[in-house]
Amino acid sequence: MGADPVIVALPARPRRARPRTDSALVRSVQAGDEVALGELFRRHWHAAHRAAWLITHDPQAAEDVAQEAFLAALRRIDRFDRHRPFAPWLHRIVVNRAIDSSRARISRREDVGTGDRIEPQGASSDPGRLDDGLVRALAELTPEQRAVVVLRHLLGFTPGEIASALDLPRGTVNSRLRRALDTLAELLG
Amino acid sequence: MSRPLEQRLREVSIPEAEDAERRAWAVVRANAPAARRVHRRRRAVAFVALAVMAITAAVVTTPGAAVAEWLEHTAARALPDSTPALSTSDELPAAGRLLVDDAGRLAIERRGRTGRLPGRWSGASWSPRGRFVVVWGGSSVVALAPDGTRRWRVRTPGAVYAGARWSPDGYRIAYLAGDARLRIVAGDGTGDRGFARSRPVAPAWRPGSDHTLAYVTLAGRLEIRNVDNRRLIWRSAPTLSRRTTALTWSRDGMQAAAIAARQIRVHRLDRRRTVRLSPPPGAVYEAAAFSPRGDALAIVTRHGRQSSLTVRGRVLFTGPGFIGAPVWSPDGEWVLVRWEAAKQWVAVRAVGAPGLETLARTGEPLGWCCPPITK
Repeated sequence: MGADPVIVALPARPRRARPRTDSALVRSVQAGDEVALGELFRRHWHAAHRAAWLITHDPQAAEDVAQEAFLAALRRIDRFDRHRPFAPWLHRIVVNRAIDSSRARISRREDVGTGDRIEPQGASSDPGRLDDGLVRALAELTPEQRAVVVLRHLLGFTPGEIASALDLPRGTVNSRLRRALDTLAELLG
Repeated sequence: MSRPLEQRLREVSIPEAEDAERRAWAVVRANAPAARRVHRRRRAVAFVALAVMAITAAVVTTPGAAVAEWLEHTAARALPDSTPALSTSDELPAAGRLLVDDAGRLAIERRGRTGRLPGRWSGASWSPRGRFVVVWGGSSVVALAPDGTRRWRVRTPGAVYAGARWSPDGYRIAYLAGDARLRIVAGDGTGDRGFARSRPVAPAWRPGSDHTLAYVTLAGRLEIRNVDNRRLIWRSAPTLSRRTTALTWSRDGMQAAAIAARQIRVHRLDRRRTVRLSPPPGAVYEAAAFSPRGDALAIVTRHGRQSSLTVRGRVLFTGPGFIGAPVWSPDGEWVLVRWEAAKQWVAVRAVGAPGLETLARTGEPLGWCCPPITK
């Protein structure tokens, strides 16, 4: 196509000396303030997208998961309790959707007999970016193991919070995390 | 691990992160809850008025335009670097049965084998579970079993000139007859009756609801009604192009798209909005279809002598000449199109790892049967 692409601008940075709290932003979003929505998106997109990608290892799935998580959060924003922190609520949606997405991909691959390991996608489009031992080591974990690693070491959840977010016993979270870290340590030297 | 795991996780480079953010923001902004807030606030005092507005007007919004811009932008991108290698195949890349129109002769292809259906017909479509094929031609609508056995036949007041479509539960069939009448017949061929006046665009049943039908009125509105009690679910403004060629529903039944050469209008029933998509200057939309597994829209666009297939804003295939209407595999992983100039079908993987296969076929794929039955 010969047309010039139309660029959609990212949300503008607000001109405020003191950043507004998430709670204040959520209240503004509930009132229909698009600037506040932009700030909330800008503040939380990167972590959400990164978490989704580290669990799914698929750029398209990660984008879908993070985007759908934001949309799901928006759909429920009227009922959101502003006294609770926004980020853990969003991250919980992201991580559960990322696990579901990864499981769905695995089951589709099993259907066609290609095994259950998820190879990182997108390598052909940019091989240099994925030449990272950590990414390859993470690919050796199950989606559930990747999820606990991401929740604990990227998003800063405590084991108790992880157990609540994933609806698992705390002991399961601890053992899953331990096994995942042992595997990573072994693979990364 | 020389550096702390936390730091390494934060420093991993995410492919296409910037593009993903831009696309996501366009979509999130388009779904801002402003409209819902207004609705909620006024509900106590103006519920009736809003309900009337909801079913009589499709509102084209600025956020909707943002999605259109985004899709326009992404549809205009060049082929990605990760264009998969072309491979040839003798079989369809996904499970299921494909209904094919080869110059009026119908055939069903499965695992590389082709079975012919008797007679010459203007068109055909599957029943929801693939137990029958409804075909039409002349002034007849006929139900055939896949082995070609005729089950029933309905003679219509005039020639049938647009597609017969089976309802999701199999108990109704909608078709267009020669007097611009949209007609409904029961799944067993009984009770044939006129329902509404319609432009010659194949009607489309709403997924997940038994007898709700979308069709284009003579005035150029998209109307969505229950065909049993005639209850109106949605009516757009009378702004659909006379060049509207097809209707397609998203899997969840919340988005209905009307496809025309210069515009695709996606009517979002949950948001009571209409999003307009426009092709790049000089290009026209040839066809589009929603994925059976979600809301991804496969769009075929022609620009001069070049045609392209786009899914989720990614150009998956570009080739010289005409590309036929996209047909999704039942699992929603592949999109199949007829590439006329090459006398081939091209199957493009729309999700997961890139994949592109060609099959030496010339007929027009009509439908790939069937989505898994979910209870």
